[in-house]
Amino acid sequence: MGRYIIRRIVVAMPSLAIVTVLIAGLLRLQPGDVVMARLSESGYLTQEDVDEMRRELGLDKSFPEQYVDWVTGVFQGDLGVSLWTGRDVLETLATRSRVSIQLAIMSMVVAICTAIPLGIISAVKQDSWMDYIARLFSITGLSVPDFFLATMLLYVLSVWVGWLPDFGYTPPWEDPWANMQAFVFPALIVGYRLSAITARMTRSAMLEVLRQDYVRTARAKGLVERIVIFKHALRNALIPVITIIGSQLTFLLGGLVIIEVVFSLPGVGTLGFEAIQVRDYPVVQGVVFFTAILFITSNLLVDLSYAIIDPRIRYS
Amino acid sequence: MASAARVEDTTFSDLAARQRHPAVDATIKIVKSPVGAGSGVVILILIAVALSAPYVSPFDPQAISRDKFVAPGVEGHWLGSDGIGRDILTRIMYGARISLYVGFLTVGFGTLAGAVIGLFSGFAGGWIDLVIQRVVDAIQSFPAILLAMAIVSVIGPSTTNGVLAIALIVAVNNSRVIRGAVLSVKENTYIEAARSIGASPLRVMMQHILPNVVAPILILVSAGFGSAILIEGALSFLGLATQPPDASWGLMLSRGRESIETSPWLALFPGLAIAVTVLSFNLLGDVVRDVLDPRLRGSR
Repeated sequence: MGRYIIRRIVVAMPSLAIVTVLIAGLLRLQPGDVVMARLSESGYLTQEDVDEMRRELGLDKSFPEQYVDWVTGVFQGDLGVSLWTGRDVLETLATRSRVSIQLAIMSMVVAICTAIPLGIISAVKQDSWMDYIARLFSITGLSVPDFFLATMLLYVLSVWVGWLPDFGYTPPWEDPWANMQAFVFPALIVGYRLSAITARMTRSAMLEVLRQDYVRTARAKGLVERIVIFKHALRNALIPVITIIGSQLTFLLGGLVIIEVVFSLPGVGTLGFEAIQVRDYPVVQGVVFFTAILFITSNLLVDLSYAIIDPRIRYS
Repeated sequence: MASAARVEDTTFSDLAARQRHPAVDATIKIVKSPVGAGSGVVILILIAVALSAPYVSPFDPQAISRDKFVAPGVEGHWLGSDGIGRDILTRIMYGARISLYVGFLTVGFGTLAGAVIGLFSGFAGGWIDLVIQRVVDAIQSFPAILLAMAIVSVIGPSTTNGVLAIALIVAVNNSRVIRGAVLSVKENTYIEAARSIGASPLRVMMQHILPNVVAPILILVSAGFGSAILIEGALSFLGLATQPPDASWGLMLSRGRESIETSPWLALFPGLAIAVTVLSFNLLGDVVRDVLDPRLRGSR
């Protein structure tokens, strides 16, 4: 098991290297750099001023040199400082990821609590009106853009209900109520889309499992339907369901740019969005590194969870 | 006598059915299902609207007028007008052109490139496959929307550049699925047989493997439209794809947010347009999947 985990981490290293080089290289192709973006606000400047600032920020070096510097830093636990704000990238990521992690967890709770029951009902009562309603609910979730749902939700709250939650991030330990207000609506919207994906997978996995011989055997030996479905069928249907939830993790932790913008939540997605726009290389690199590590970890955790669900699966 | 004739009839029509091309069979099944027919009709209407927008739209999409923030149904503006007096219905009709352009181009390029990469990677195997798959891993480990932003920030924001960015990501994701299908097809005896009679690798790939991975490719095609239109909407919403004054639904929705409390229709109608379009493509995609791969019913 330990050896398996180490091997997986070693195998993932090349991908980590590729994605960091790829994104860093891509951003170097952008016209202009952070110096131009920063100085564009400060009026008349000589070429010397620009060169001076480039040298200070280490941008006068070639791209390979900059990349080697960055990698050396990573091994020393140093992700550099933002070229835009001067703040430590690791610290910024730590602060921003608190928001993203809370939003991801709450969305996943929303999704799992709706998707698994919906998927089960849909599969058990296949082709009934309940199945059709559940499927319509899911496919609508895949089709309605989250930014549209968010816009309309804010409209309904402000105009019809006459109340808007306190937006912006408050840490839960400072003011749990304000924190909940800021998170519950985005979590519902993100959770709905995630639940749509999960419910469809649960339904099809359950349909497949319910046709298996061992389910017929369980029924034949007189087990109550509840036990057949939850103990015998659901457990075997969980593997694809967990895989699909796991595959959404990088999206949940780094891709919720629009939801974070609309609900003014300072998460990792907006951090990446802003950094790309001002060409703040160290911050973009930090975000790439963060999401890539998460991608690798979540894939590993998903695979390891298979062994818990299905004792026949062993890793060595 | 009568019964004998009927027997002959059935045999004949059975024969006709058996001789029908599988593609024709699949199309008939798709059109016969109520969901498939319904969503197909919506999509056809959408295409018709997009093509005929310059002839049937009630106004000019860019024409600024004094009728600012007109409510739906007033003064000939069926869906109202925006802050500089442009007709919403007209702009939604023109927006359909952009959405469909994005959908077709993304799916076309994404499928073609994805199929080429997937076929090649799966068929070549060995270290070539290993290297390609590590690159695919790397690209998939970064949130798609951020990657699209990074690409657009290099090549500049426009509808076509947005399409390029989305298509690249779609191609990468599709290539993984197609490679998986190629790997399983490759193990069949008929591939070994083709090789043993001296068919060239290219011939094996094009004549024997490709036809057998057409079903997953078609499923990717039908599921791709909806997500392409959604991502273009998201990019335009953030100002990274279609630029004003062009009428993209995502852009209209984003602008409509500014006056949402007084004129909600500015955001409502473009949002509904995206939702209905994507829903139709997704429903049609589900039917196509059910017909082509009954094993995958209802999954995604």
